[in-house]
Amino acid sequence: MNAEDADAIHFMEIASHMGYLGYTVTPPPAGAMWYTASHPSRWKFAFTRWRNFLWLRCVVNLPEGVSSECPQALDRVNQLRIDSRVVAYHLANDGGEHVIEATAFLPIAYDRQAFGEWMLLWIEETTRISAAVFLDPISKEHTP
Amino acid sequence: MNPLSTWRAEEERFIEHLKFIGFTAEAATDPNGWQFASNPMAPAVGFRAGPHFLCLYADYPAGHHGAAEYQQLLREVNRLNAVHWLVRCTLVTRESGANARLSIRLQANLPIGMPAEELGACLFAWIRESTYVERAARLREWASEDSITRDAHTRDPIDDHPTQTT
Repeated sequence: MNAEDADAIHFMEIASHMGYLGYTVTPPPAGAMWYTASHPSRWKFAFTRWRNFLWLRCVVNLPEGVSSECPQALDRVNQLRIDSRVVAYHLANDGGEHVIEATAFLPIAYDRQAFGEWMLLWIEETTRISAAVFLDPISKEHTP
Repeated sequence: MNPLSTWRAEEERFIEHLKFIGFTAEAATDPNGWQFASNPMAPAVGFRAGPHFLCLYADYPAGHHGAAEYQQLLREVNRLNAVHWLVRCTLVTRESGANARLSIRLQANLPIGMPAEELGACLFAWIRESTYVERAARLREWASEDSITRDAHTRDPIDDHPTQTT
């Protein structure tokens, strides 16, 4: 079995596990590297292998009119970081789109129970994006 | 196995690993269970094992700041999080009222039981990223000191640099 086959089997395990959490996993198109995981009520995210880690990445557009330089948004994202255990968050201007990006690096070795625990943390911490950015609206007057 | 024993064993394993890259662990005296290790060539690191993780920790003072400087620090911390992959960087307020001081806090949560090779690779990333932040914090501190302190600072052989001797 070559490394590519081993990776494919590995990602089948991960995709199957994510299915139990309600996600639909789409493999990357030929030549691309990011799998996507969609869910009817949670933030969609992408994942790939990076060195010896499983790299998860979730990018959410900020509400209309809120900039990635907005002081109030920066403050809330800083608070998200203080409370997080797995996820690192930052605001970015992605080619004119102002976004909040959440990333996490999980161990690549698949173990059902450990992976389940990691995924619960990932889901819990990415769900907090909604409260931080959307449920309690960011005042536009603070946006430069 | 009792989780506490697992965590202590993980900390012991980590201390042994640190010795291979020149760190010396200090005696554990912190009431919250944090232990610290220092290295002449790298920033000191705090660590504590707990559920799921071995948590690495460092805190760099960022001084007293007004609203404008606070926003600038928030932007800087945001940028650090965009470029670092291992270390999570946050701006925290220590103490309160007139004594309130800001700190830049670094944390990384490593899975318990990482193979030694992976732990070593993560430690390299930790050292690289924390060195960058410590250096930036030190430069900011230096820039905010008054000229007398600054003169004293440049005479301090620890901070001496060949380009400053001319």
